[in-house]
Amino acid sequence: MQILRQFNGVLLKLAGWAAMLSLAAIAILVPYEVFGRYVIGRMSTWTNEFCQYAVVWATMTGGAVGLKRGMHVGITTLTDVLPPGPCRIVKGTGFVCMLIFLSLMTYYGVTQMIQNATQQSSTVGIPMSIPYAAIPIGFFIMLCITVEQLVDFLTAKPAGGK
Amino acid sequence: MLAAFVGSFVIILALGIPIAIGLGGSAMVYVLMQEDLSLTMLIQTTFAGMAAFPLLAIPLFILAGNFMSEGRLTHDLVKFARLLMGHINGGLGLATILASAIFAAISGSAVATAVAIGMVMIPAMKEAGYDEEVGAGVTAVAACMGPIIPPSIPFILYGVIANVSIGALFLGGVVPGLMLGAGLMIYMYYTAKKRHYPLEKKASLKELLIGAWKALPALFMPIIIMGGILGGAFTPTEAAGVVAAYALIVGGVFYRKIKLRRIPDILLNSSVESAMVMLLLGLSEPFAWIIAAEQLPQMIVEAISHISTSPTVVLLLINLLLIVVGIPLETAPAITIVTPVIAPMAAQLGIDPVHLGIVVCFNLVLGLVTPPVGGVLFCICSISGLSMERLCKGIWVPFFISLVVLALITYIPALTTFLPRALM
Repeated sequence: MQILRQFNGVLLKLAGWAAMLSLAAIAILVPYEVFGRYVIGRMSTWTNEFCQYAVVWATMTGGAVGLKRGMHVGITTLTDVLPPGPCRIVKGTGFVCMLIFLSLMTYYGVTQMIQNATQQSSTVGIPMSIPYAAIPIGFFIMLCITVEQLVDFLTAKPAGGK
Repeated sequence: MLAAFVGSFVIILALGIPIAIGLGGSAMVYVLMQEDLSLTMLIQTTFAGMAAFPLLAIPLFILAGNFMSEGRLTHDLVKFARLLMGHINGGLGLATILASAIFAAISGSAVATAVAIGMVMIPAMKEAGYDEEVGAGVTAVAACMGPIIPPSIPFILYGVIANVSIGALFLGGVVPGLMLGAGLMIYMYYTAKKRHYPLEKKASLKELLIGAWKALPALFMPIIIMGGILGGAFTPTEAAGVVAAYALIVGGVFYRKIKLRRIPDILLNSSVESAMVMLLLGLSEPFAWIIAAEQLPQMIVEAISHISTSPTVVLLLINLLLIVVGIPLETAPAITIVTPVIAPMAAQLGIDPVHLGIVVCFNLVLGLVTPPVGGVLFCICSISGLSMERLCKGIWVPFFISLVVLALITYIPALTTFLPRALM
């Protein structure tokens, strides 16, 4: 368990850096493009496409950090009104659904990434696997976080559960 | 097949897990049930849903808003509004509404507006002797102008999903947003008069000019955004990027309030905040694809046509439905869920797509202040320290005003379609 926590800590740190750097790249390149067009009078062909890929990276890695911070909105109307016993069952089912979804998305994300290895992006000229890699990586980190949360959920004293 | 898809979506949501995952999860159930579809299709559509240039505006506007707060640009804005309106009946309330309107023209989010303006004005109104419920209620509903007056994150979402011009939606939001502001101001003025709220000292011309000069950097931002988009100088995404850079330069270089070592944190927080919306959008893409493939909108149109085919009745039904949807759901998830169903209906029923888009977004934004749950309500409660019950007492009248505005923009399409037609 301790190993999982440390592992997740490292993953989240990396995700945070990726989310930050992707947004930084977008925040620099988009105004740069406007500056380039009006002031220097020169347009680059690759920035738009690059920014679109960067935002996928920012979303998937930022989404993982957001999951850890508990920022994703969900509807808790049902779990709020249920008594502790049934509530635990509902929440547990929720965890299982998330684990299935996140594992499948990670697996098929990798499959898709491998399929795209030979395909080049139209203007940046990198293999499409690189932008696509954000999806399995993001979902994988979310999967690890969910496993950690599930372990916490199961080891927490049932009576103390909300 | 459709029943399994809709059923799984409802069940997954009831489990209390993130809505974004619910959207993707029900799409996954559907794909697994189809023999000829592979789950890689889910990956491809999700990727395509996120990698779109117009969507880059969302993280950039969020970043601009965070730079603005960090750089204290809002402070000078609120001060200026207070100098301008303070001496009138209900002046502090009027200043709150005015400052919210100006902030709304920079930020695209209601919660951001509520925090930025509420933090300063709610305590100020309380101190001056305003009833706490009244001050907090007006601030909450005024924050709804945030995503109605352009720029607007809901409009970007709607525009991308429904394939409607974001610039046209932005322009169409101007009049409804100002109507809401005007309605709230009238309410505030008469309430203050009736309850004898104290007036502030009238500001001298010199004070006003100094205030305006200090607020100028913030006042300049809406001009960059709308002027740039309207003049064709740049797209909404580029406007967002330029404004983010501008806010950083003004807050960092001129005011020296944004410290260099704080920038990574601001970037990370903005990235995470926008990921919450973007992930919803990415995972709603396969969801929307399935809704279209199963022809759900056509089925609903057919069902409605048994009741009536008149746009008047249909719009009423849509509005009632959305008010119900908006009670438990936040604006962004609600838009990603209902737009694929509702937007195609507009064409079939002969409703202007820009008009429909603004009605849908306006309605769902009100969900943020519909008691008893709503993002803006929660955040106003925590700023003001009021309980939800007490806040709700103050929110009914302003909320009713916003419903009147909703009814007006629903049945007078010119209010939303005039500006985009005239200027674009």
